[in-house]
Amino acid sequence: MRLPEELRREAKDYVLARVTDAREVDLGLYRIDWDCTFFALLMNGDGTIYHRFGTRDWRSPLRWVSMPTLVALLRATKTDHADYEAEKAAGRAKPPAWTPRRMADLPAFVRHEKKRTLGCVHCHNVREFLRLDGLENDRWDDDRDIWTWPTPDRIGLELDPVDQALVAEVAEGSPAHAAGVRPGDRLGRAGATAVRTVADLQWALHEAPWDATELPLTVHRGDETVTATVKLPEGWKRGDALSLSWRPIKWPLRPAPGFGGPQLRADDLARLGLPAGSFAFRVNYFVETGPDAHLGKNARKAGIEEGDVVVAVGGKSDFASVDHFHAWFRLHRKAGSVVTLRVLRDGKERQLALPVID
Amino acid sequence: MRRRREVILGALLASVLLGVAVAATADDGAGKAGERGDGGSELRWESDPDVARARAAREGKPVLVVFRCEL
Repeated sequence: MRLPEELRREAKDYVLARVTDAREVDLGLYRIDWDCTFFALLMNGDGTIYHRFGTRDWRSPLRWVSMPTLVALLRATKTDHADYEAEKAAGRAKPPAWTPRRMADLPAFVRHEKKRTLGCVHCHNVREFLRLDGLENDRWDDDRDIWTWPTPDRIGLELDPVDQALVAEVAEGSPAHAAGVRPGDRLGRAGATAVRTVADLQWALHEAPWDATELPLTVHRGDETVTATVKLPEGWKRGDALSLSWRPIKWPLRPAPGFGGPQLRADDLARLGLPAGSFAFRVNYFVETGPDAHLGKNARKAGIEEGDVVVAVGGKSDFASVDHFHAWFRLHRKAGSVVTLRVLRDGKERQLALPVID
Repeated sequence: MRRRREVILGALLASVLLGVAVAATADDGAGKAGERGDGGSELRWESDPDVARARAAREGKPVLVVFRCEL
């Protein structure tokens, strides 16, 4: 029941807040990656955000979240706070301006609450209702706006998971490589954003317009500070099914298969005579209630049965996870087409044709 | 199924980082010293980040706002 001592030592110099229900949160100020189940902002009382912490990617929810990183960030941000306060006192820094916005300001949310209240509003609920609100007001395009908080690999950077401003790798031929960024460089700024974490860099990428053509990076290399201008290729924000796979925002996208189930473990694969490391999942649910019930009915009508083991979809069998399958289906299948499923049932392989519907 | 997994991951992160101490402070009530959860270190967690910002402005401290899913 004790907060780790090293964390407690740094946290005592902060005013602490924890949000477990986003219902009353000012969405205009606290701008986080709402797909995450954990996120932290380090900020000034006047609304200035110093740093962000708590991103994740498709590999693991914990890859970018560790105690040493948070402790170091809390320690370093105290310096940033003192510097900012000094700048503000000298009239060289100003608090930010923002337009307050809460869930109650989203008509789609208000309508939903009248029918059936969510109770606790989770972070991913915020994202879902921001999407609905945007769709209703022509401010959201699924083709573009699902690609939020781009990871550094989009520009060819791999950062150190613990010392997150440190460049671990630069992909050959990538925009960052072309800009002259090198492994061992330490990121200082990305555009106007001070970078101490991977989430800080993601924020800078997130805030860059869809059609931005370059992003200046300030990097520290030994005793030198250099500026590297990263040229952003067309469509640079758009990721792939794998990068979307962990994000809850994929669920409302259409078309959708209307069924799913757990990925088979190694012993299940062996029992079925499937190669070790291959992908397969066992169908254990159909979407059969609510506004998407037609998707589940469509899947059943195509002959899919509970217990079927799906080993390939549309000729593709190299999914990293069932979430990857769901993201891929939504991104790459078109309503009106037919997708072929290879399934195992009672030890025999069958091919099923699933009409793809919205 | 997917919701359950998200919740489990959220709980895992919370236990790794901020742990049951945060839950203990919640048990004590927002704004009250978390003596039970933090060995009497008097770390205090606000549930409203706007209240935390106002306090921070008064006390001259920075703010840490943690967003996480509850079990």
